[in-house]
Amino acid sequence: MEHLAKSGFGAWTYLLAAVLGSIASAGSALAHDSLGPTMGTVDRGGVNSFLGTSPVALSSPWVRKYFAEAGQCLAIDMFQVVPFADLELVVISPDPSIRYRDDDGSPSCGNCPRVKIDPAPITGYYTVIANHFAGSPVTSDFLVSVLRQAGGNAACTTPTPAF
Amino acid sequence: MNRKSNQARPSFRTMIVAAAVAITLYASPAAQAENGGIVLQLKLCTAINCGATAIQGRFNPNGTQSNPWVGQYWASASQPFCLRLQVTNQNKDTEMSVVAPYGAVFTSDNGGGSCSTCPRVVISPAFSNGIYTAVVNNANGAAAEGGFFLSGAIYPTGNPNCASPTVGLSPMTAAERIKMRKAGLR
Repeated sequence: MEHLAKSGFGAWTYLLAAVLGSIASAGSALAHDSLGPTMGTVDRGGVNSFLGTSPVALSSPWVRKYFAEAGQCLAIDMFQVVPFADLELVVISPDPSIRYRDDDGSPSCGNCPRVKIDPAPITGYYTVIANHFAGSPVTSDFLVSVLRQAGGNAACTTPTPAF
Repeated sequence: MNRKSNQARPSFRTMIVAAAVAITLYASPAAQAENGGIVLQLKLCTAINCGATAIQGRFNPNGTQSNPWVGQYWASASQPFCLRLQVTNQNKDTEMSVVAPYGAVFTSDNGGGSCSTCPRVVISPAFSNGIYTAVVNNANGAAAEGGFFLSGAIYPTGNPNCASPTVGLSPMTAAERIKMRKAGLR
């Protein structure tokens, strides 16, 4: 009985750990927050080619959400694509009818994409999707620098037009 | 010493239960939307949304910070097919954009049908085997909490579910257009 009581305590501990771990991993998988009013960070990402239920290789994009306040500049610049693949960026604003896309706009490399949103139309999370420009299944790693600054910041000169 | 080691080591049953709870929570729709995706199988039936995978989604703002729901759908078939994603029920007026693997964006606000203000995206033909990303949020993007049911399926082109396809948008420079043409798209 004593053993059962003690292992019962262990069970609750492990269950709690499982719940907290699952919540934490689900919440942190996609969204990127920053505590300050502005921020700059570099993230590592990757696109993948792999087999699903069919023998055809599938193209799997990289998806992440970044926060920006209305009126701010949000600049997303891809670089160091290894092995090199011709990737593009699509960004969906919190209003799904306001979208941005770029294929070869970054000076970081020959065919790297860069999206500059200025001013951000809505306060909220912007969904960033990176993949091969033609949807071809490729496997590649990359870095993205993400800057959230005041509107009109030099990082957002010549902003990407919304469509 | 034995007592201490008994206290520290969970039973096998405990570990199984903990693993099951973790898997269940991790595989909930929210986690699927974040990380994995829903694999769609080709459906040959012809009723609207027949055989579709229906999931419940929600978008939760953080105060005034709008936070859309994001889901991924694997679409692949050995014959030409269309992808149909339709919100069939909602408690807020929703809007949806679907991004194809090649970057074209298909947006819908009021898709008609029994729920006239629910979005419906039909991509026909779906050009490439890959993962499509769906973004659903309050229709004007303002921070709001809402829930919805989203049906998703792929059907052979020519199926009634492929009718009235959504127009995809993807602004390109002239050079990019040439590049896309060389790649066999558009």
